[in-house]
Amino acid sequence: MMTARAAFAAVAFAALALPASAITVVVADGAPEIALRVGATGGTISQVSFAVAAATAGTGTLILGTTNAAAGSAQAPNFGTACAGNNVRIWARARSTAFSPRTATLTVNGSGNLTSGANTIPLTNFGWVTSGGTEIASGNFTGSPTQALLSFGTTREVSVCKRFQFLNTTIYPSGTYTGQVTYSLQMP
Amino acid sequence: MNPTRLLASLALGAAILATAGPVHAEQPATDTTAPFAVNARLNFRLTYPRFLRFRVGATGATVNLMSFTVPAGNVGSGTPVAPTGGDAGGGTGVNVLVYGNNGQVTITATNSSGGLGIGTATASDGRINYNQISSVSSSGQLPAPVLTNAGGTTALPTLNSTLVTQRTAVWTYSYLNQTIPSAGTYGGTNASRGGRVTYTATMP
Repeated sequence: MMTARAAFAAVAFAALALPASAITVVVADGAPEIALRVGATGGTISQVSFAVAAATAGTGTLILGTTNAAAGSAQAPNFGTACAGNNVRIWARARSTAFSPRTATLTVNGSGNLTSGANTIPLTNFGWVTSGGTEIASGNFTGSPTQALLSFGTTREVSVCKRFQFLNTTIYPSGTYTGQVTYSLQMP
Repeated sequence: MNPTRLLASLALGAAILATAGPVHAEQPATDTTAPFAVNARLNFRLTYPRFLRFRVGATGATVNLMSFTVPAGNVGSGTPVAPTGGDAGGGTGVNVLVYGNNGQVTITATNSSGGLGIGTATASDGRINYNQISSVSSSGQLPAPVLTNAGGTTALPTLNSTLVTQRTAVWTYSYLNQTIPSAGTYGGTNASRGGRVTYTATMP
């Protein structure tokens, strides 16, 4: 009877662990491997767009980024619900064999700029709000090429949904600015 | 192989290796070899408008009325008289803001006096010359035009960078009280009396 009760409790926990958008999920051990997704699956690099209105330029009014649904699509099988609109899914998995745990670390390089001709906007003028979980806290790019976001042990999958935002505290020359951030997942 | 060509080939190969890194075109990107490392990229695109924003005094539709009252004992003494009615400096000044992002901003002043100065609506009362109204800025980077009957001097806010201006200041006014005009109420909200100053900011 004791064994039966314990098994029932484990099943209930597993059911609760299936997340809508963000949480850490324990998955099966296996040959060591890491995997990372930022935005859409496949070969496309997702884009987050910001449009600043003349009336609020430089006022500190947050400008929320927009993106397409693919950037926040579900990540089967453990994250079967898409992120809210205009959110970007960041999903990572770190796997190792049983009794050989490892720790994976996710960082982001936010040291660059968005550029429009000779004009630049540092990435430190951008941040994000994490929804549906706390695995990657809401924050801003610090300008570090190795800004730490998350460390987690094997064997797990982690996923969050991020809505990016432009802080809009400084005035810049008009133009269309483009830039790129790179997320890195590493495990020894 | 020609040594020069060999070196060039090696250099090209090294360059390819250096840029290849752990970036994977397909997502999720995976790595099964220690030390494990994968990258994933995200593009940002921001559209920033060309704009010019200018404020003198209270926000909204309010036009501040700077009101000077000269005591009888001080008329014409040269002792400056501070006003009331501003939104800064305890009413003696106005908040000024100029934000723009396409080059040098120019601020000019015009007034409703037709070049005659401030009147009472009775011609025989005469006029008070605008050179009796002093305006001093709290910031040398956002100077106030010197007012004249014709309008005023041109003021050039200091650019923050090649194209961007982001300046604020308080412009403080005073009546210099160096002449003895007829008794009366000069200017006011009725612009036809000549007491309305309009500041205009322009940008290329």
